[in-house]
Amino acid sequence: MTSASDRLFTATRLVVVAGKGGVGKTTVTAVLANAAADLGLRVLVVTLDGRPGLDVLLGGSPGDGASYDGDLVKVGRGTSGSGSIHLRTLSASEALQDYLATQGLARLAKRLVSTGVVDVVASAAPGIDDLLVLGKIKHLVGLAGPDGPHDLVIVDGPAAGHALALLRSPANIASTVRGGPLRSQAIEVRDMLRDPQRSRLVLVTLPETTPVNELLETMQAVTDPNGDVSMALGPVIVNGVDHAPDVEALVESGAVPDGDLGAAARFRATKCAVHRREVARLDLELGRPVVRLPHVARSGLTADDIAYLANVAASHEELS
Amino acid sequence: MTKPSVSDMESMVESARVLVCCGSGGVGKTTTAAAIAVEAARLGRRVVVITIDPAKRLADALGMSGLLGNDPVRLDLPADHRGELWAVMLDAKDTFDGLVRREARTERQVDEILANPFYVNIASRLSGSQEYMAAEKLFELHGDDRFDLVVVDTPPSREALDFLEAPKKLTNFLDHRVYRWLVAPARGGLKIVNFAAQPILRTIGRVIGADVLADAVDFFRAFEGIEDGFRERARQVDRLLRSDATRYVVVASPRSDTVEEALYFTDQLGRAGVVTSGLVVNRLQPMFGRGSSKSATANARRAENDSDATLALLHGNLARLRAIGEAEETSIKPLLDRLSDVPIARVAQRADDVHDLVAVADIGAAIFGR
Repeated sequence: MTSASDRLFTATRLVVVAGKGGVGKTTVTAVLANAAADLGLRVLVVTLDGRPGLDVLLGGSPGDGASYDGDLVKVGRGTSGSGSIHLRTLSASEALQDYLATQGLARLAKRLVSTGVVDVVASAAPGIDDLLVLGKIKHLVGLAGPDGPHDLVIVDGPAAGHALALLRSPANIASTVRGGPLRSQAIEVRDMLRDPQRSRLVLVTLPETTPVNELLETMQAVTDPNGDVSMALGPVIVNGVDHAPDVEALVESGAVPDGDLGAAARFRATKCAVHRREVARLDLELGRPVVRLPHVARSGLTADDIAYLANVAASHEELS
Repeated sequence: MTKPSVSDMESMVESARVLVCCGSGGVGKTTTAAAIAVEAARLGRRVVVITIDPAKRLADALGMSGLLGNDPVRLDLPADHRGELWAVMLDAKDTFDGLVRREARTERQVDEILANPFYVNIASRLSGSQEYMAAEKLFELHGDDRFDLVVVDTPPSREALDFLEAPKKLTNFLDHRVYRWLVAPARGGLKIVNFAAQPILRTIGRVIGADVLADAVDFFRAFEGIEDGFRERARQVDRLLRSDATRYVVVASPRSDTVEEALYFTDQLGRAGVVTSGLVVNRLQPMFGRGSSKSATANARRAENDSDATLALLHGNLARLRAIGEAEETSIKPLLDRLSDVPIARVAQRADDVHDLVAVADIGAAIFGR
């Protein structure tokens, strides 16, 4: 039985999606946003690298000039019709300007950014830019709720290993900066990330040995209660899983001819076996089933593909 | 324009003194760098490969686990490889410390800099310092008589220029107005930096905390006098990165997002005035014959009409795999078009999650057309 606290979208206010390069992190962000909107939730998707195309994946039409500053991408989702998706991007320099403005330094802020002083500040305390971005996210999470503009914030985390650096920044700053407003900010953000009722981390991987090994390592690092991240995990999502029991059974039976047809069948069967093995290994390590997203044979997914994947995802208890 | 053959890649690897593999994360960059290094050693070159955080399995496969550090370690090679293969696992902080030791004038200066918290931040966590130290290590090994080829696996980054521009980054930092503000009073003979006199510094102090700023001032003071050495060194590294001796190989995988990033990398390299000398596309779907997914689908339908379920399943499966391959071709086409005048190696993926040593051999074979 899945209790209410295990249902990702209603148990928490912030979902951070993270994974190594090439595992389909942005696809998964779009899938989760759709699945949540289909439950009638008002979702704000935050992207940190402004990667083009996320608006199209989310269902916006290409070329309608999405400015990523909080645009409405989708409305009228879910049975009640209350589900929606908004999209915005967050950059470090924007976060710094906002932060300085809240410190009563709005006029200086522009100058600091334009003269490159920000680079020096960022060097003085590495992670300060990450922290300020998280601070901005915390502000958006604070607005979430029945009376706010959205119910849930989903963050498409930064590429590659930067996700860990991002999530570690509050603890790092808290340990290097000994006083002042920045330290309080770091502690507040750290507390938000450590509170499972406010924040969950969704890790994405592919069903292959090395990506699964790396996911398990990352998982250990971020969930360690004595570590510098210590976040609660949402479901682990395995992207691009191939599943062809009929082809596998045929190969198993030995009724496969030589030549291209047979080679293709054996290739597919071998691959499916690897995928099954790696998914099973993850299930075992995690002690609960992962979310399996099927492999879609298309160059550049469409909004329809995402809607299909969102349906698949929604059949998983933790995402229902 | 004639289409280059794979042998062009071989002559490129034979003539290069430095070979930089760039590309986004997850495309097999580390494996590709290892494959090129192994093949170059087979051709008789004395190669050192600089790896950055290799997956444990790859390190195991190459016999690098536990051995590797910032000093080159010689790896075992098959008997038919005439050259030598050495490997280094980049330790950015250690490399930075070495640079400080070399440039500092006194032991005391070394100690002061290495103990400064601001320096520790810069050396270990400042964005770009890993790239800078990869370039520094490359320069160091390029000048080492033991090696005649340095192969570099670059840190994962969206910006190709992070690596190329890294040497300049620190010198720009030292030339920065804020730095001059901080150091100028000391040069003028004043003992104390007057924070209050600089509104901008006061602001920064309010934001990051006065103690962090004080560390920064101490760092810049300790650093005084050796910036020129750093600057000269950075100039030399920069010159090597932009010389004909250094070749850039772009590594990609057949997904539209990684292709987009590879195109972006190529553009950035071009803008920085260096040319891309080769392209490696990893993990391609094997195509199983020459037909299209359409023809396989038609065959599947025909078999269905003939009530041959097995044949229909086989053709249907072939159609799916070919559809994946065709989608990949669509994804990589812009990249192949852009780099139509450089040698291109296409590496097919294997169905089984092979040992990384096999992957290394696969890439080597694809690059050298064996």
